[in-house]
Amino acid sequence: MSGGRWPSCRRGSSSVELVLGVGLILIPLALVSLSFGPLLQRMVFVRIAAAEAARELVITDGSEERAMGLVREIALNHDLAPAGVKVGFCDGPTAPATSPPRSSCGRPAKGALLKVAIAVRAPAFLTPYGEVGEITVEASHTEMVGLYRSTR
Amino acid sequence: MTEGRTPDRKVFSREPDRGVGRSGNASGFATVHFVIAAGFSMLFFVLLSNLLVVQYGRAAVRVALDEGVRHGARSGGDAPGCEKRVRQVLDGLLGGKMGSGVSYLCRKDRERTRAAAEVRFPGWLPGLPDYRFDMAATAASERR
Repeated sequence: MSGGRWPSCRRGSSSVELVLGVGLILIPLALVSLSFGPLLQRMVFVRIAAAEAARELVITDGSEERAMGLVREIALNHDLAPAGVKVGFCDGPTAPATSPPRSSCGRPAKGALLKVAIAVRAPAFLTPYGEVGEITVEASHTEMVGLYRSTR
Repeated sequence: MTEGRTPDRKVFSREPDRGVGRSGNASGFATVHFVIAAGFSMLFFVLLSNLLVVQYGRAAVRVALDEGVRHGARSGGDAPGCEKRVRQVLDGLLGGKMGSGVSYLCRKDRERTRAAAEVRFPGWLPGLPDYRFDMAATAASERR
């Protein structure tokens, strides 16, 4: 374009490149990086909660109420609202941890496998204006009732 | 011959370029820019590294508390055993000055074993506040 209508069309191009680079690459990349923290936090939470709830279920001979109480306490330990945590027992439907127990497992027999599934939502992206999108993080844990344990 | 040398004389008699010569105002300017930019980059790098190390410390404390309550929750386990296990994990993952900023306590009753920690990680830059936070872990106690 030299000598044409805009003889110095490259003047100021670095400013445009900087704005585009920061706006289209740097800021989205930073937002994606910041979104990993809450996601990993919830992944850690669901694994711990599922394992401990399954263990509590076995120890208490299938008391879902006690297991849900433990999940609520672990959620608070991880700075999460218990109402946002969903719990399911023995492949039954999941429901918030604050809801009443549903007796999906019944009274477990010796050697029975008790499964607990935990699900919690994590924000897909964190922006200065709030959370955008959601990802559901899930984990399940299966524990066996001891074959030789003395039950009540 | 005389006419042929005239252009050479003009070349050698030309005045030196002011921008390149030793009297130029821009002499050494890029060095100052570079030092300032590199200094701020280093500060930013240290700040970022500090945040990463604090995140690592959080994860280490989380693991230590979870490990401690699991240890204390088993049948025959107790609160001192839980605290001992927390200390072992912290010694392995978070020794030195950072590890000494973690204070913790275990409690065990018939149904639950709980551990709580108060953490203070010092900031690496002068004027930067310490990183303080609390953490807790809970496990179901095994019944005899």
